[in-house]
Amino acid sequence: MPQQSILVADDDALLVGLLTHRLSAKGYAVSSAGDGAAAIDAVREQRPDLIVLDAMMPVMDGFEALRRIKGDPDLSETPVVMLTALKQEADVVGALELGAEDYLIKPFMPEELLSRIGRILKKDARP
Amino acid sequence: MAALCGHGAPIALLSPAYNEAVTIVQSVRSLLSLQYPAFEVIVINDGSKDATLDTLIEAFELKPVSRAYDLAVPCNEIRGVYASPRLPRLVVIDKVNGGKADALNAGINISRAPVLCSMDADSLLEPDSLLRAVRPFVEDPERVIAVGGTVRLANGCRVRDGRVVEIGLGRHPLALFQTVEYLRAFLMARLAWSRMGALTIISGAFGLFRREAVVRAGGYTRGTVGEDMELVVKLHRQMRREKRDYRIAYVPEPVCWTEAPESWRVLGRQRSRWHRGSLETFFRHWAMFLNPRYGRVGLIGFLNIFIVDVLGPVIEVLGYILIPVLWLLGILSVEYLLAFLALSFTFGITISVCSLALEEIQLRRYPKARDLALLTLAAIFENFGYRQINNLWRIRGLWQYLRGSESWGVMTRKGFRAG
Amino acid sequence: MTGGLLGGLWTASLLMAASSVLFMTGLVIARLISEAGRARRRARREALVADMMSAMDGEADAARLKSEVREPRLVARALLELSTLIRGRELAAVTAALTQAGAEPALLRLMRSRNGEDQIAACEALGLFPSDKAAAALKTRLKRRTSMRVRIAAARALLQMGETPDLNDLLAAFDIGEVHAPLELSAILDEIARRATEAYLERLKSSRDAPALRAMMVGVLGRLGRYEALPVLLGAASDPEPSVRAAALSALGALGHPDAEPIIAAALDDPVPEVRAEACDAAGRTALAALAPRLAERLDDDEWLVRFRAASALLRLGEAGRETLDAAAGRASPRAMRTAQMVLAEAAA
Repeated sequence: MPQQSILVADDDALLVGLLTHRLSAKGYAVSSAGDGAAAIDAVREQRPDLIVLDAMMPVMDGFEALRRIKGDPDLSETPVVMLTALKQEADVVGALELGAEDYLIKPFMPEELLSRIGRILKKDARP
Repeated sequence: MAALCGHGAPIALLSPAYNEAVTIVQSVRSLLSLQYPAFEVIVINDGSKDATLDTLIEAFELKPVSRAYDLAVPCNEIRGVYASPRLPRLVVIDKVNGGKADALNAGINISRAPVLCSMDADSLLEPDSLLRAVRPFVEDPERVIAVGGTVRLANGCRVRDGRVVEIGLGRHPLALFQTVEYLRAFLMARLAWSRMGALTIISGAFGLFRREAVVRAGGYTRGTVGEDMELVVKLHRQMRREKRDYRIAYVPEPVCWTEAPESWRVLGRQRSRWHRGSLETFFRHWAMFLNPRYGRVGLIGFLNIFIVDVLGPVIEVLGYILIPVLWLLGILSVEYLLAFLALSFTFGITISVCSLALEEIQLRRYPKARDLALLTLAAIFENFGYRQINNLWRIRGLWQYLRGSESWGVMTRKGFRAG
Repeated sequence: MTGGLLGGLWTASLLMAASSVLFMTGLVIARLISEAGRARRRARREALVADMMSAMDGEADAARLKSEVREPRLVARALLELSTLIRGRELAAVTAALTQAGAEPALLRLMRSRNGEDQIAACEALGLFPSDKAAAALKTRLKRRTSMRVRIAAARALLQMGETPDLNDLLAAFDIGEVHAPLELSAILDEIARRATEAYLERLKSSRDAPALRAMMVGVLGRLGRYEALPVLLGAASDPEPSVRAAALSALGALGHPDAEPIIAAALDDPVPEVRAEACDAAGRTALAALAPRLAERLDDDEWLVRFRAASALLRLGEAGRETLDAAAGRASPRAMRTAQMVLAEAAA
């Protein structure tokens, strides 16, 4: 199986560093984007297998980026895991309704994120 | 009033839009993402001739709704109210064109929050601007009726989707001069005036007001050039008349960014208009001038407007005319002339440097040492030419005021480029 | 004599010009120096973060961490930032490695720093190292009536350790104007009210706090949702401070206890419009159908806010309220009619 790739979209350098460290240790190829608009550009160019998306980012917030990704027939198949400090019911439900595959709230448990990502990608790989 | 003006008091942001189709969606989006527990964004489409309303309807999936609203202050007919079930915080009003004051009045009528935030369509707010600016309402809930904040220039900053993402300094000399002017006006002057209780202006680019006080003062005066200054003077007048103990506060932290014109022509028109607005306000409320009934506002605030705005430009121009005449007549001592000129220039520089130092020590918003050096140079060189031209623009404003000119200076925007 | 004046003028302007230029040069130089310092700090921080990540994988470099802990200011900030992102086993691994390296005594030292920001960072970071010693130090810090922000940080750290900070210590010489993050403070009060409800209600009854704080404390009771708060809320609803009254009515509405009816009914005639508006809301949320005629009177209130809230409250009252509103839409004073009609139209849409 070829190496699976993950895009981490977050404006927090610490989080990007942390996830890059953990995800590449698990064998994923990791790239990153610092805001929603850059994330969309990166998705178009790199076609990652999964996106980890923050909500509160400069330029374009994560919900808007999610809406555009899921609204674009070309990109909508890419699974998105929201990873954000927003914990209100409306935000969670809203993101899931927009098509996010999963929603984790910061502070999160890295192990949990890894296993959820693993599950989504396994399901995805099945024909 | 106080509970609702306490921490997290609901705020209604009033954003008037006239022919803003190009930028409206990104600025609304950035307003919707402000950090504040409870606010509503009311966009007032003031009869735009372009596609402002349609762009909004499409981008935010708006539907016409029926919304109960007040008729507290006069405004032109409201043609429709639009909202989206997906975005409970957004309300868009479509109304017959009537100018900025009229549009803001419509927003006041529609709003349901005890605190209003008035702004320009091109104001770029800091994400925590509301949290910062609401604090005087919290500290002194019974008395505070309005709060102004520091407005900074966005020229040279990196702006994306309606938000300043990286602070910079414009490189155009006009932008540099205006940066020094803004620092001086906001950091030194307004802070001092508000401490004295005689602040007579809150920038139209950003201000918080208690709705109830604005409604009592009759809202914005329609058809004025300087409706922002006029409203603050009206608030003073109303509160003094009612003998209410009140306070108009000011927060020195930068809360709002605006783009300064980088063309002499546009800047000139803006300054003439500001000056005309100031004169209009002064003469409309001249009964307050030196009237002890109006306390410090009447005595000091109005005296300041009188000296600086009413007399200032005239005296300065008289000086320019008289000096050569007197010199030709041989009455004038050149030595004294030069000495006084030098004193007035260096005094101006010292004041500017003090505001630069204040910004550097307290706020430190400009990231590079080089920016600081550039601003120092601008503070020196503005005295040679820029100051004099500014004065001519003010004279033109005076002339327009005297003629009762109706021609409004149209502010052409440079438009924020993405990236 | 005139020569003296001329010289004086020149001297004054030259002095002003020279001192301005000198002063700005000084500031620019100071800025250059601080920029260099910042770059060095950034590099050290990056090294620290890398070591923290190794610690997460159970590969902590004890010697390096030990030397990094000597700069507790950096450790406190990086750790706090990390704790806003992750929790669970990985975070525990980092704090364990840092404890090994002697972070706790270093943070206790930092807490005694003269710099307020350092004190705050130290307090908050200590919350991640639960121990009797740290808890005791935080409690002592709370007792000192110094900066509000430091005390709030100490309270938050104690809560994080599972300890309940003493409310009276937290609120002694309290200055609401110093509260930079009101939501954070009210979250702390939420937690204290939940854990020590009796002491919390006691403090509110004593009514010695500033109005803005009391209003906030009353608001906390609305979210707490415990009926034992009812007597205190009923008392607060007739507080001399309008802000407290309004907060109390809002909390009563959230509580929704029918015993509040007489107080809510009385507040419908409060002289302050915002209190009347909250009273309308409370009547609606508590479903006090008997108050429908009183709410109908409020449809003709002088303040739009009250008229609107009265109409909205009537809508919440079900059958009786709806009938009252329909009646008002047909026959009442012009402004009451307009309010009723508009709110009905809005509800229908």
